[in-house]
Amino acid sequence: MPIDKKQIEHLADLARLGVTESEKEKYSEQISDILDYFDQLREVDTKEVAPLAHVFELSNITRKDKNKKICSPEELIAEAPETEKRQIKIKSVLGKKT
Amino acid sequence: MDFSDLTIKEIHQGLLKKDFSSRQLVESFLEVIRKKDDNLNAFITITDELALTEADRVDKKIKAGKKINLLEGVPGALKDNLLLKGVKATSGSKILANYIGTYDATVVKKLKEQGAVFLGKTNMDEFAMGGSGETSYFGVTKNPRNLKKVPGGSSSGSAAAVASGEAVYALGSDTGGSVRQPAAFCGVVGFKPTYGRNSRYGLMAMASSFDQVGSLTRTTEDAAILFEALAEQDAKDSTTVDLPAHAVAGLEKSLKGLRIGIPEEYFIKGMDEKVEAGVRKAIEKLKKLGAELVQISLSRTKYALSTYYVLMPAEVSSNLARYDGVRYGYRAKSGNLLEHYLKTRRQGLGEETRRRIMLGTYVLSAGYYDAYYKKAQKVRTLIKKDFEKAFEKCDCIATPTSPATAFSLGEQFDDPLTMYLNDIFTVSVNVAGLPAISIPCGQANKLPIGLQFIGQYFKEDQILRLAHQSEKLF
Repeated sequence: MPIDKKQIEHLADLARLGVTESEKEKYSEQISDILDYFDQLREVDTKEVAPLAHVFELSNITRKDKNKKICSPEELIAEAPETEKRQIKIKSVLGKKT
Repeated sequence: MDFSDLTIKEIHQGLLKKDFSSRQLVESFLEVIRKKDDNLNAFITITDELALTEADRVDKKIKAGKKINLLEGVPGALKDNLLLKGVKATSGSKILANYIGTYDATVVKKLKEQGAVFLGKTNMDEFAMGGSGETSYFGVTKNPRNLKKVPGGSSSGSAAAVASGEAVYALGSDTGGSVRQPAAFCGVVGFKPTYGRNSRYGLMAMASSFDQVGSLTRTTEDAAILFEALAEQDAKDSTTVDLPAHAVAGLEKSLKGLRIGIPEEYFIKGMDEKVEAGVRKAIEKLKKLGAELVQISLSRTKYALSTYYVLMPAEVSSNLARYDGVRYGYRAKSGNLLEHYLKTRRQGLGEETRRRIMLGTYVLSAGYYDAYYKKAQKVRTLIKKDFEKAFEKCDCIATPTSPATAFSLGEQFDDPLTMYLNDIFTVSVNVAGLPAISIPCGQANKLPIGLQFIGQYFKEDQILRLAHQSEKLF
């Protein structure tokens, strides 16, 4: 299945990935080739087959819902690229588009 | 003194007998790293101070006449997608270039409890995506057997470090062959236990239903020691199991009557003829161990690669959504929130990573979900069933690890589909969640060939025993 540049733009937008013009061209060719390869899966008869999301049947491992200290909040905040007054700073989500 | 050929047990004995101190050992390995790593680029971070502090602690303990654990004082390395508290963990990506581990991964914690000494964090394909060690933001890793060749990937630095004597052992992660394929290319032992054997807590998620931590070592005995040290049910990873993990004590037990399945589907047209010949010759030799060779069929093998390359990117596209430059990692300068995401992820993530995120987004999108994602999940069921059926006839399976020996740097970099084909013999194991090991079994093109043994669920002891006794044959 060929994927054109427009579809690449759409996918990149959905995945919040920026792509350059030259990359659009390259990705559309490469991803088309890969999808062509996937077409072989159509040969397999899967009419009565259940999908497998996970290798084993799992049951939940639960633990008490108790506070546990893994690291200090300061260590986590220190990982943030921009902070102000011990808060993580980010462009505004709602309101004016700046 | 040269320590680079010593096994974990030999080092342990040497420490006990005071043939050398832990500090001497660590200094010697750091010296090897200083000498070789400018060329190899196997390490992203070298934790020399931490390693020496730990070594001194071990020496003090020995001096005081206290008991030390088998792995205590043995210098190892960690793939850079595993968290070690207080040390950089980049996963080979620009977006995490300055990220510091805020806690220990469970496997790291378990090694620390044993008194392990870490020399550093090893280079890798970005977020474990790549089969050549070429997609790292921190530059390519080279194959110590031939510097013009790739070391394989994605645990490229871990394999190169062990093969070159820069570390005794290294942990890696195996999602589609990322421990076994570089082990084959570099001529070392690469072992991946059954899915669920050890905890993925603190391993940066790539494709969660396939990912598993494994080891790179020079001998199978070392792999068995690490297997026992790492296996554990962890409340922080609901996919882990509570089953005993014993392998070391049984390594010498007789293999008489062991049935080894040989699937014809793993000797395909287009593979390197010398690799095929080498592997077939190695398999014949297994009879000397008292094992019996049985022809088996894994008829859906040819669909395993497609199945994997549909499901894995789907999981990747969701797992990597977290790298958005908000709470941690690289952030691009931008005018508004949308631009922030687009620019941060374009500049912070590499080409192969973005290719897989897009592919995953595509197979999960409305209209294509059934045709690709769900279809692949159904074929996954069939591939698993193929193995279950095969294991009625045999105890374990022998195959080549890779269809070729290590290829040249740059050779396949711009051709993703050809690159993916290198995984053809390793991915089925992850699709089914089975344990497998790759050991060196000779040479072709003056480079190592890997022989893969695939085992039944949670019967790692069997393939470890087979691999251990096979080592003497090649």
